[in-house]
Amino acid sequence: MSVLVLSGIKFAYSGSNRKVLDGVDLSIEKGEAVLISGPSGGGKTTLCLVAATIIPTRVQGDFSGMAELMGQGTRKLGPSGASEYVGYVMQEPEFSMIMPTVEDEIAFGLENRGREPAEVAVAVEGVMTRLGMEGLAGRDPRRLSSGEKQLVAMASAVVHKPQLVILDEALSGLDDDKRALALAELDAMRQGGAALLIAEHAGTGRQAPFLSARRYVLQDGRLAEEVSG
Amino acid sequence: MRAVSFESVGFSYPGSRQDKSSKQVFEGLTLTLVPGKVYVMSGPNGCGKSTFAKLMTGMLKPDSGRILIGENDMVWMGLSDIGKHVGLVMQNPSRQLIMQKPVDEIAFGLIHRGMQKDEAANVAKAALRDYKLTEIADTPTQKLSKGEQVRLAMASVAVLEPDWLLLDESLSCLDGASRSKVLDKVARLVRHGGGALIISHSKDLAYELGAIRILIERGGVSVVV
Repeated sequence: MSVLVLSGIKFAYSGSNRKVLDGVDLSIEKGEAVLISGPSGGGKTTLCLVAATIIPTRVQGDFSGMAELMGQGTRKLGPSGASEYVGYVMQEPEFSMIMPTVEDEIAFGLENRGREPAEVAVAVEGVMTRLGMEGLAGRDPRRLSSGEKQLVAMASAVVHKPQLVILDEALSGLDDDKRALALAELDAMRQGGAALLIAEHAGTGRQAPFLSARRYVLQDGRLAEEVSG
Repeated sequence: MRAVSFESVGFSYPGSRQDKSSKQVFEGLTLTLVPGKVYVMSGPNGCGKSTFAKLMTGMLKPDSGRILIGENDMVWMGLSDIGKHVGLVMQNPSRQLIMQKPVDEIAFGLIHRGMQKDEAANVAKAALRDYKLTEIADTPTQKLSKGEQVRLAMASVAVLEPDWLLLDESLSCLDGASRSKVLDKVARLVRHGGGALIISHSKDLAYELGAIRILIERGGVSVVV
């Protein structure tokens, strides 16, 4: 079973005739990484929102096509159902931060799944160590720098070991050391069977070879596989 | 065109209800940015790069020391005065876009400088063409992609012709063509005697632009020519 299958996806935001996605086909299997690049406004964030089931369930617009996550239709699954399978690091992660400390923010998703406190504490400490976040313990996530917020958002997205990790320009604000730690975490997850969907601008996809990623370009709402070499 | 000088600047963020410890970011920071140059600032996450940009635009005030624009201490200057000299494209440009339509966003600053509305609208439309934003002229600013928002913020700042242009991680979310366009504008500003400070994690950018590198690390700042 594929982790994500998108077939003939078309989408225009409410109030606009412009098809941001205009017939997108994409499937991602377990253990695969897919990197999407393309020009500004080309639809990368919209594609991430579709993969996360936020489109069409939470964002209004004209949607058509078939989208399945772990074999289930995304319209029926919705973001709360999909959260079991998906970890999503948004382009502006501060919008998703609600808890008073970094540890609470990372623990939030696990606690809401009813995990035992001791298990949550071990998982949070583990991901903070792997991502080099020890210095952020006890800090208010909304008062961190943008790069630090990206790290917190990434830790929150991967701590429950989702089957699909979606990263929307999520590594762009990290310094080299933190980027290396983040890539190591993502690669370990991929080798453990997780699928990765990474949206980045052309020329910044330095992580693609590291993650053995299939590369696509999204332009004018259409997806084309990039031929290497 | 005026230099910007940090003289023994200290700054810390106060504690909050949840996070009571204050955070010292700069202590005794002394640095002069000379017009006619491009500076590329880099450093690890959380070291104070964005804080530096906010101090330089007057959005934050130093706890100690002073920041001068030319001979004028910024503490005695209003934000609108500082804005004539320093323009900032923020890391999250959605925070600085306040108008519904892109054309109004660009015109806003011009009108508040005293330009007639019709003339400001014409300048704004020309800027939209210049930055390849005409296609999204009627799209609400908060619905634009991040790359489009950066270009719009850049256009809005550039029409005000500040002496200094500050780009806080603005290039990382631009495609190749947009990035070239923005860097062309930076080069033009510098040729006309202005200056630019670009905050970026890219190690290659300073070499690409022949810029002066400013490296910030916790506890110190160094300048590499």
